[in-house]
Amino acid sequence: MANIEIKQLEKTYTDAKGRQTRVLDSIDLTVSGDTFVSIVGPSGSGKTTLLNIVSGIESATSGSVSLREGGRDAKVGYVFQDPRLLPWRTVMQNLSFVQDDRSDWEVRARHYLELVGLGHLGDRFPAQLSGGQQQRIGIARAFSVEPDILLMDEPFSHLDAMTSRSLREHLEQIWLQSRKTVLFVTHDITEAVQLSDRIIVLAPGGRIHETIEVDLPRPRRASDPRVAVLQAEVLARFEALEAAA
Amino acid sequence: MVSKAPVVAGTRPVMSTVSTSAPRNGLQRRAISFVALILAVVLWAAAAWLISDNILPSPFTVFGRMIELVVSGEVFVHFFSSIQKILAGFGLALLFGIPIGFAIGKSQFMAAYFAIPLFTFGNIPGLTYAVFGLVVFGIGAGGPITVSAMVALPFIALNVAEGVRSVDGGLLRMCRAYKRPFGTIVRHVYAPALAAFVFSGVRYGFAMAWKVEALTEVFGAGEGVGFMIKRAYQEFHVGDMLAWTMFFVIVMLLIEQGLNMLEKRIFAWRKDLA
Ligand SMILES: Nc1ncnc2c1ncn2[C@@H]1O[C@H](COP(=O)(O)OP(=O)(O)O)[C@@H](O)[C@H]1O
Ligand SMILES: [Mg+2]
Repeated sequence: MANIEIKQLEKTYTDAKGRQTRVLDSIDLTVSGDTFVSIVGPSGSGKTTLLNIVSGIESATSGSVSLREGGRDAKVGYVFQDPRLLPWRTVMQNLSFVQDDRSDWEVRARHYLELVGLGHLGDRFPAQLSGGQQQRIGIARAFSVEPDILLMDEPFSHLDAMTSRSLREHLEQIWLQSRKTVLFVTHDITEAVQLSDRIIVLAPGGRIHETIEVDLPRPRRASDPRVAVLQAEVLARFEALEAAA
Repeated sequence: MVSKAPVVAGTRPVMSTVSTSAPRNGLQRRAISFVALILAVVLWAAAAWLISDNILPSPFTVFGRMIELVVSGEVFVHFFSSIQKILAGFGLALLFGIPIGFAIGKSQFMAAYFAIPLFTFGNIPGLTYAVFGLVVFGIGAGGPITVSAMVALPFIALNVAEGVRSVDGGLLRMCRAYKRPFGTIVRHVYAPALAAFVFSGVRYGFAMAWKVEALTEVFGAGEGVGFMIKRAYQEFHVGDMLAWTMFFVIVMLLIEQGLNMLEKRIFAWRKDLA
């Protein structure tokens, strides 16, 4: 069971003139097991920065992040806001690129391409796919490394409503089958309530404003009245936060 | 034939050499080229008919001379000699140009450091290079090789620098998130991203190196295409001069064709070429 432990995490950017901006402020967060955690917050509240530090893309100013699975470091998959595929490599080559475990990567890659509904497009180049298809390849890529922890940064935000709805359902199904620890950044409250076990609200300045536990049975339908009630509640708190900012 | 030096400082890599607004199909384009060629030969024949054969021989005389040169094998000896030197010089230019371009693309300091040397290298007239090759290396292969290296280097370095700057930061962050080793990143991210830029550097650098190399042979060589053009000139064989020049043009066209084919193959992933 994967374990994420973030302690007293701080991130400060210093600009060319030496001015400092605090982006993340004493973040404490522990997630264990197959929990789906959403991080919501206004634009600029440090959501992407948090994922980047967790994934090791950026370093923290202070504090610690530990990602463990059993007795070893956890393996991480990351779905970005944009697809970030190598344009000069085919879909399969893109999936191959991220594999450490070469033994049966092709089987895994094909399996997850099937799951996102693109099993037949393995030989295409990214430029020959639509934006939604490219994003699905990015999701398949993240799952194909069989990560213990999955990081997702507003993965559906660039897509039209229809596509993002269908992808969200795909994601929920895959997650229900494979059960991983997920940190999922979104600015869409509906999405957060539908997918998460826990919702973390970041306030401007990068502090955790509150944590909301979601205890509703899965799979959840947007039309389920309990989902609607919780959405309205979270939205109200979110609006209060934005009004205060 | 004094070639004009290129302005390198403002050189922008030309990414798409296969333009989308070209004539509708290759066949049509070829037909137009063919008509233009026929027309040029007719004009040449007409001019030659009016002007003395010693000054402007007819295309048929020149063509006959070309066939003789092919049959005797002289063409192959001298082109082989020239191409060998250009390739050697070009290899040197790649060897130094790629790391210099990498440094310029990655560091402001290096960009400032190399700005003036590269500008200078790129703007020295071809004639100066030719004389320099003769003075420093005397008659032999050293001059042409060094000169083609110096001419091609700025093109390659500046294009590689532009390529390094163009590498998508998002892709590099993706590589970090998936903990890709440096060698893998070079092979799968930097190299392909740079390929288009190296390619256009090679294309222009090669054409320049060719011209200046031939010019260098005029002054300081005992063989090669430039040398043969000079000899024909000294013996006042205008027909030979034109025959060699024609070969020169033909070889340039063949190289251009080869590069085009290679480009299509390497850049199959690009939408605009697909
Ligand atoms: N490399 C950087 N240098 C300076 N400031 C940055 C950098 N990256 C992000 N920021 C700033 O940090 C803040 C949080 O950014 P980000 O994590 O992208 O927010 P979010 O994803 O919540 O919209 C923003 O104010 C942004 O301007
Ligand atoms: Mg963001």
